[in-house]
Amino acid sequence: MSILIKYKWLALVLAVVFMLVIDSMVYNVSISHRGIAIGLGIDIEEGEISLTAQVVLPKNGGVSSGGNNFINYNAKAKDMEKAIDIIGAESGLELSVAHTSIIVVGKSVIESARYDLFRYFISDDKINDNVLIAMAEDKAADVMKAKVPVGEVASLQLLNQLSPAKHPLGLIAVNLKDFTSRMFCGQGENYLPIVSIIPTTPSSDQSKDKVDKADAFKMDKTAIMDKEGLKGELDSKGSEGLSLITNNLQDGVIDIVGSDDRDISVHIVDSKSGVKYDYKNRKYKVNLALKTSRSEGRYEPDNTYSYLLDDQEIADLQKGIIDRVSSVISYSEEIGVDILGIKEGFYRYNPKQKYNIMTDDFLKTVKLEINFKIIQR
Amino acid sequence: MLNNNTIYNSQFASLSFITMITFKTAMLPKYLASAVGRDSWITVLIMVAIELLMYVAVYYTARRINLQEEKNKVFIAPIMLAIFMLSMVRVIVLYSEMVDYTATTLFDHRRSIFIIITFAPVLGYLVYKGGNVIARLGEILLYVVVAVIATQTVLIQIDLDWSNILPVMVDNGDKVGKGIYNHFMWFGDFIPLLFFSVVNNKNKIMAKISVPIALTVAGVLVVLFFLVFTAAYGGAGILVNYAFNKMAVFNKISALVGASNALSVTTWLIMALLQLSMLIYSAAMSLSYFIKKKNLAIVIVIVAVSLIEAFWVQNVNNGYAFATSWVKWGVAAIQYTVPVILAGYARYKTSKAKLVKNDKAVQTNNQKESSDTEDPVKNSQLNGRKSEVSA
Repeated sequence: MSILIKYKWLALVLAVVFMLVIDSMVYNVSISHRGIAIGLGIDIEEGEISLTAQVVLPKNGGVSSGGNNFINYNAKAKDMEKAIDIIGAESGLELSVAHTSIIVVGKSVIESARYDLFRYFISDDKINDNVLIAMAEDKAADVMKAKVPVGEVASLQLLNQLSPAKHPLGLIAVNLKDFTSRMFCGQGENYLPIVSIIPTTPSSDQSKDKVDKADAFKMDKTAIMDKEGLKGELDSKGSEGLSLITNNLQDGVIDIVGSDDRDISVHIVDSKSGVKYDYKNRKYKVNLALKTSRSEGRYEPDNTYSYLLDDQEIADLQKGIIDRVSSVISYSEEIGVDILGIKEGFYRYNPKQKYNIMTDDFLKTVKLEINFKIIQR
Repeated sequence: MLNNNTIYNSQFASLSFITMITFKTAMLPKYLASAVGRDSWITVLIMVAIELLMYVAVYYTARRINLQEEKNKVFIAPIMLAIFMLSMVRVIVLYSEMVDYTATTLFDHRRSIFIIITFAPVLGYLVYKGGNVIARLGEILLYVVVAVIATQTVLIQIDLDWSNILPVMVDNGDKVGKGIYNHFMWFGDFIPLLFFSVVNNKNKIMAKISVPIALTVAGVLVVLFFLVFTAAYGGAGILVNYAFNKMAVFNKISALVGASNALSVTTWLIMALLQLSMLIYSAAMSLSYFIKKKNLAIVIVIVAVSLIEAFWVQNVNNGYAFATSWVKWGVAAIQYTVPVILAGYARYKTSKAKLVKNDKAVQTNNQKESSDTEDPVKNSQLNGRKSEVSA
């Protein structure tokens, strides 16, 4: 040791040699031999996992214009580790999930309650817990193969839609952390946005490549599940109610029918919600603060142009929102899944009443109360 | 120039801060989520409070005696043996966490042996350079740690469900107790600090406030971290390895540039290296008390730890099984009694030194007085003054 302290250059040389030797021994894979998966699609077929990995080819720099720098690899296996291994063997690439931003699970995954897959991902040290999760209306592989026109591949397009600067009304973005933490609450009541593929016009890039058909994604419905599997689908109206309560809304237009049967579009610029559980009065209280304006302006009697809602329109807006939230609760009762976690919430704040709360018909005794605070922009 | 293990208050504070937070934010949240569930933060609150009391004893000792220079063999030898055993056991457990973290997070193939080989010379060099270098490194690192924590806090973007920590302590008291006695290994980390001797900073304000501020902030941060972790993951916490690393991705930058936890990944690694170097330092220094050769003691400890990690512990699960076996009782006994015994010893020595000093002062005065009485001229003058005073 004292020799190394005396001759510092020797220490430096040894350190460099040491680093090179160790590096060559730990089998580090160079970037050109890595398959960086930006999105994963998972289906269950005949009891096996069918994994589709949307991989960017590093040799080409991952630029999407031209549409040929991404490739979908597919593998079937009994477990996820094996499926990833098969893709590695077949592609000659080390599949890397460190940059995966979205995981689309097929309907079959939720129907068969394969929640072990989510446990696998959250336990994995390489995948990030803020990766977004969505459920395909049918097969995840179809979503991954979709020909999206906006110059991107399916994963990037989904990512753009699910994580815009502001979440639009009715679009509920769910990440791995939130989904997995809800799996451990109550009866595992949970929800995911549903990805539907709809036909659209090809983009100019696609037209150059003689693509005559293009796909777009629609995500206005929400899949509802519990620990036993898929239980139902919330329609767009219910999804809007859910997004209001779960604080997923930051921007969006809500269409309401006025008292005089007129259609009014209200721009909800921002919303914040807070929930309280009043056990004594059996009330589920939602405090909703909204920043709103009319989508279209109009001339007031004093000839000024205004985007403000009048008192009647505010009352109609409140009624429209109550309808939406009520539809979530009534759907919960219909399918027997406590989507909003109302029972769990009552229990957490009133643990001594556990045996009164955790009954099958407790939800029916609870009344909804929404307190509005509406600020007009 | 300070001696090899004599450091300033501010450096002592830096080391204490890093020691207190490093391994509590890695695998412990997962372990406590499994053992205690939503009340894991209460376990941590209790243990951190005990740890702070223990710290008072450690700081009291480090301010008064230099353990490495103590000559009382009958008293010090068993203490050194106990510290050596404790340090080795703790290094074995915590080292397995660091090796596993590096192997799984930074590499594709989990070949931990190469990581052990790589860390061994780094740890050996730090320990060889001694307490001053470790303390200086800790002081420099503290700025980085504070900057990283501040950045993560400002940029955090995570959905927290605070109701995940409710209900508090309902049908869960026995689990909180179990969480405490099964996880002694991750608390009471201050034993290595006994090998440092503390002197005051030149800056008087720094000398007074650095230690209490560092400890208060570290204690609050650790409890807060567990609260946030439970609010974020709820019951899923039992699946989350290396909590600080998983939570670091939830920030506003991630939405723009993808994974952005590099800051916390690298910072934690250096903090872990620093804490392990302190543990190895205390193991080596206590061993050198018996074999009288510091460098040999360092080599023996490093080689032994590396071999144990590579061929016996092998992975973090075995490390946890070892930490929660009967060994935990030995760890608790040593870590909570040694600082108190040493603080008592330090007090005894200080008061004895004061007595000796007083005796010497009295003796000097007596000698002076007796020499004065022998001088008739002085004596008459003194008597004259005395009589003046009495008059």
